[in-house]
Amino acid sequence: MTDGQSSPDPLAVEHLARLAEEHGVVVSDDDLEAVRGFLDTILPELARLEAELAADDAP
Amino acid sequence: VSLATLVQRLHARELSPREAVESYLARIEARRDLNAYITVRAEEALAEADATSGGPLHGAPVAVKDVIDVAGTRTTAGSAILRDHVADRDAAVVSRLREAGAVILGKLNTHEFAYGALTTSPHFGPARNPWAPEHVCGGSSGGSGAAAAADLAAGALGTDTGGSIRIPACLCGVTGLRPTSGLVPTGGVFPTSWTFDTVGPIARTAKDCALLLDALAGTRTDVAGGVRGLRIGLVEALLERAEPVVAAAVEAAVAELAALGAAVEPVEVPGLDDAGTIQQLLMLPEATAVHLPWLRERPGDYGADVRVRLLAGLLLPGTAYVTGLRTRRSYRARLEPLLARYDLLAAPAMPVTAPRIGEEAVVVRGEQTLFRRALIPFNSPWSLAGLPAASVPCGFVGGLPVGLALVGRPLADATVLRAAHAYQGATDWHERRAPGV
Repeated sequence: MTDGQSSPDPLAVEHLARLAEEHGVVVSDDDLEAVRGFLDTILPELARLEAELAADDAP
Repeated sequence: VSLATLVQRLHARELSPREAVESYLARIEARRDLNAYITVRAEEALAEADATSGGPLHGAPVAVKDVIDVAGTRTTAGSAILRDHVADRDAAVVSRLREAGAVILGKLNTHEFAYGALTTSPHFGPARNPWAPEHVCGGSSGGSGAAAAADLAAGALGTDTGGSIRIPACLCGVTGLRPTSGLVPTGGVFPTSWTFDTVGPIARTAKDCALLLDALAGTRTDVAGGVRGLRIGLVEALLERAEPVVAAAVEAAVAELAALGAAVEPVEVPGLDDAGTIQQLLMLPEATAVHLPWLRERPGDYGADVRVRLLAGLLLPGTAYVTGLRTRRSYRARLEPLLARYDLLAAPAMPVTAPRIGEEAVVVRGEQTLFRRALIPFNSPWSLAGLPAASVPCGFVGGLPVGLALVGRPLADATVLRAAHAYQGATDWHERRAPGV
């Protein structure tokens, strides 16, 4: 980041709640905790796959 | 009797379509405890039986998963949201079943919106496994598995996005085929994921599945011919991830195929560990897109597990879907040399037998894991590539069924069923009956 602010934790409950709200969906804290558990598995795998794609795309 | 035998008797007029329907309706009534059906079309089925006139499935009583539309009958999808939704026309697959002469007995229980592998809808109750009613049937086509296993229909249709035909077929001890993606039309079927949804048969035998597939796809499947000369790749990485007793049953089944003349070799599937993630990157956002209006307006009407999965699809980064598309392409490309070399791949259909209703975790090789996570590596690799894949009964562990997965090249559904038929000609696992059936 160039403005000195750090990126929000993609798994923070507040961040997830705000994202859901932007889509017009209101989510309970219990659901957000469960979603966090779900994403906690997928997001690192997603990051790894994206890194592999980036490596494949490198000239 | 099997669907194939029943059809023979119907054609020979040894019994009438009405008698066949009456017989199945009596069994459905006697086994209400299994909760296989959400809606039974008793009067309509009897009227349809009286009106049927020939066709390859002449008068055969079959049933369909309750995400598949039957005109004039409700399609609940196992949900509260669609509890009273009545379809105004038949799904394409139902039209094709009718054209083949089949009679539609009713609508079968499903995991809510076909989005889960347990068939424990909080709105309609769990489908119970005929082999042990305190255990799940698997899912999401759990009612279809139970109906086939308990003779509550001569054959059934399920849908399979990430394993939903193969899982219940395996856990209920019957035969199920996820057809090649795109082979069977999905019009009139409530969607889970447009990319991966398929409709296919669950029945007693491979021959029964072939009869149903031919009605659905307009194919002419010949299950005769055996496996001599077929090259089968055994996916050892999946044997190593299954419970040892399950792996042993599958190894014995593959040895039987080798004894019948197939050439079996161990193989490695490139990208096997990535397949589940890639499928989820595509499936989760697609399912959420289907449900977004209801997710906004009535989230409380979903069961908690389905709601959480839909929210996960909503909250994935936008790049996830693109990454899913790109990595699926590379996964399929990496699979091509393997599919060029082997006619079939073989593996356990599932790593474990059916868990008890209410248990979300299973133990695999001493480690506790979520059931939904344990099943992914056994199902997603084949769904992701759009391959035909069957689960074929190949043994029992603790009185519960175990299944052999047979996976074919794209559009080689007939080869899958031919190998399954050859195996069933040499074994009798598919003829075993659950207690009380």
